Amino acid sequence: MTNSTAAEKAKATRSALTRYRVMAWAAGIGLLLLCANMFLRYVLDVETVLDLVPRVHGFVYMGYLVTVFDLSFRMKWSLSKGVLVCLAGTVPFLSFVAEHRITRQTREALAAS
Amino acid sequence: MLLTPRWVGRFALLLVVVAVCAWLGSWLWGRAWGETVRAPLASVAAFTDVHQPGVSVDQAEVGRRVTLSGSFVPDQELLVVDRQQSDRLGVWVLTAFEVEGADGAVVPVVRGWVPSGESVPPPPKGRVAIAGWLEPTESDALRKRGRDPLPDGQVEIVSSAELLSLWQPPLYQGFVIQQQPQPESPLVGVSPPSLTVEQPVDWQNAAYGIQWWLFGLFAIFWFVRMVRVEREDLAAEPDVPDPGSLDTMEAPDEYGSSKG
Repeated sequence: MTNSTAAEKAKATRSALTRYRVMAWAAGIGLLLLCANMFLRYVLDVETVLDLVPRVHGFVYMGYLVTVFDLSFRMKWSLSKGVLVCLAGTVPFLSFVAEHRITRQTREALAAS
Repeated sequence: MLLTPRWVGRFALLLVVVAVCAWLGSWLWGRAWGETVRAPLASVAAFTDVHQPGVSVDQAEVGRRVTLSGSFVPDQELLVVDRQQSDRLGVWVLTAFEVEGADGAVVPVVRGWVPSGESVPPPPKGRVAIAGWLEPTESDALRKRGRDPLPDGQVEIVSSAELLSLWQPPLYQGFVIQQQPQPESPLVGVSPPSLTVEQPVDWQNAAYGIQWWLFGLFAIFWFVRMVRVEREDLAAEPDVPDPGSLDTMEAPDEYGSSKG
């Protein structure tokens, strides 16, 4: 393998990482909004504009899964790691922690290659 | 090549995930098109005050809760087939009820619902007082079976015209759905169709249903990708005596080199 293809691969992985980070933040914020919506709707029993969140959050999370899927094959993660990162997107705040760790790990791996 | 315990386990996991996603998806999809129950007319009336034999049920009294006294006629009983109750198929038990003080006129009473094939308990003997909802005769539009004849003792809809030819007149038009089926019997209470109105489509549940199906598809997609990567890796490893690997030996090692 030549250096140019390796560089291209690293570049593609970096963009995959960026896509993952964008979606991790979107899904993480969406999840917090979802929790806020559930609190307002079922505990305080008020209707707010946040009632729109549940309709779209599933699709945002779906997009998050696609980016995890993409990154996991580029970085050759184990299946359990991929699944855990997917599930991290369903736990409030944990998605931000996971995003931070995955970004650090991926950058280290890219720097080492 | 991939028939290792690890891959069999992964495949089993995939099946479970897909089954759960499919089930949740269809459950939510079904809920999106569900029905809701309208509140019945508030006041309870004596049946004989709101309905007379030989005339159709007054539109204003449809769904009215009524009380009536009299006795069931045990040998005038029919099963109304193809009736859903909580997604299960069964029959309504329709028994003639001789109304007290109506000169022997009978009104058809739905005593309850039983699953198909279940034996039907006989109606209580002698004079009883029952409460139920007043329903108009069912429309022929509900007939789905075409001209297939049903066995004796079975009907497809509660049609006053049809009942007139089967039971002794005088007959009340329309029918009554008994509110509380007789206790300690397999009969299940039927909710009155006139009080069940179409609910507008719940797009939120429909969207949730679609999302679950997409998750299931995604799991399949992931699995297929894993299988393909694994096969490429196996083919690329020279140590593995894989007959298929000869063709691909010279292919660039696309996935193994990034560790390098």
